[in-house]
Amino acid sequence: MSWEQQYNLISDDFFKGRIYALAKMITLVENNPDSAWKIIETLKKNTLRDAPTVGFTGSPGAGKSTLVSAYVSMMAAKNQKIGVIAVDPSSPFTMGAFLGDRIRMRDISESENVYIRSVASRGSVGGLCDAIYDIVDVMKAFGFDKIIIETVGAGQSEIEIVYVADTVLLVMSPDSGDEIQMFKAGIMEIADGYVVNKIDLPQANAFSVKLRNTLALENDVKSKRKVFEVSASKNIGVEELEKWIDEFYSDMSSSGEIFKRHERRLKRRVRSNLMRVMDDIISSQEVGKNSLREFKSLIVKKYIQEEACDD
Amino acid sequence: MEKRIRVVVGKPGLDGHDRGSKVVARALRDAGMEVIYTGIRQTPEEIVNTVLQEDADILGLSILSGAHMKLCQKIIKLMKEKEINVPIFLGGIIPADDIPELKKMGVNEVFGPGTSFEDIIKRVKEIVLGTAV
Ligand SMILES: Nc1nc2c(ncn2[C@@H]2O[C@H](COP(=O)(O)OP(=O)(O)O)[C@@H](O)[C@H]2O)c(=O)[nH]1
Ligand SMILES: [Mg+2]
Repeated sequence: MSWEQQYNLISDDFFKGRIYALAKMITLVENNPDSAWKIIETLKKNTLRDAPTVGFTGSPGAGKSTLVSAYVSMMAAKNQKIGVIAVDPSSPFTMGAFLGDRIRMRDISESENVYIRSVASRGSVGGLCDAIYDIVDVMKAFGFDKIIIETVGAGQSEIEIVYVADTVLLVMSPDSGDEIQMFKAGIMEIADGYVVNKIDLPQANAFSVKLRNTLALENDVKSKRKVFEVSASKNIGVEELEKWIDEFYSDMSSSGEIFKRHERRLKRRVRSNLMRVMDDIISSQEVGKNSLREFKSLIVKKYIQEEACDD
Repeated sequence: MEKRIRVVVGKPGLDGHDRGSKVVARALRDAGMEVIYTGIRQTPEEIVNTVLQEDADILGLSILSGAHMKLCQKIIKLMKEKEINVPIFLGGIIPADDIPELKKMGVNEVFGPGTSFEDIIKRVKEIVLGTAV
């Protein structure tokens, strides 16, 4: 079945708010990266609001899933509709994936107000998956009040989240070797706020003090960033975090920062899209007797042809 | 893009042993599938809800408690109510005598304790890709 046929089968139910249609729409954009933008364009015409998107990143075991669960259950209790995207890595060899974030989200998995989707990274290296922009847009069109993303959590290079989400939180915990990371560039730079999780653990306070001291020595922007001490599993400090996320978003809206972030996102998205198509073209072309320059113009020509067919 | 098979592996009922289901989940992952793993002691409602939200192609259940009849019945009933049409396979400790009844109920395949991963993977692919007879 073509994507158009599949789209037509589910689109009515999608806009009626049926969960099965949402689930299938996400699968559709995930499996059809080349046509996804056409689907998204159609959906966008019916999208009522640009729901804030919040990203949670940090090392495996830091407590991202547990924190997302505690945070989301607070909003769901206030009858807000929340969409959660939890990304886990695909094996680069088999492309298989073990998606286990739901294990720590059981408190919210039965809520009428919450939809959770586990997503495999499918070879993307930025800590998310190539389809993430499309999946977020599908969720926005469905009408959620907020969209929450949990990244793979594999390390410093996971900065894609900063383009995808409006607000990014870095979750750290005193028991997962995060101390060394504190001094490294990368992920520390991009977060809007830092969450020290597992504050119930004995070594947590010392960790938190160290983090605050380190940040105080940094430049203006970084030293002003908020540090939250929470225990996701014991539900300590999560309410304060929830409040701050909303305040931060409205501050960004009034200062115009949010538009800068939207523009940054759009550029990145176009880039990712072009790169993927380019990559496919390059790997499918024989170099043959072409010189470097000839090969390059061949690729560009092919690319333009392909774009023309697409419109 | 090649279609990825999405499997929900659920462990309903009260027994707390998930070694077996985790091992199967890993084997399916290593065969290139995307396995959504939900942990132990899931209610039928939770499992069915997960299948719905995750747009699973197939549901795998592991039941060691002996309550497979009741649990499968409940899960299949809930799936019908929600109009979810997803095949089911079952593993664990299932007496051979119960298998015909389970299949009548709507379970597509039952894997006994000795089934090789190869066989499980092959059957799961057959069922999902529609090449099953
Ligand atoms: N002591 C303590 N443990 C926690 C807390 N939050 C999460 N954990 C535990 O940390 C482990 C990893 O949590 P998880 O949410 O899966 O982390 P993720 O890999 O970052 O998503 C689990 O065993 C959780 O139960 C907390 O606030 N305090
Ligand atoms: Mg997690």
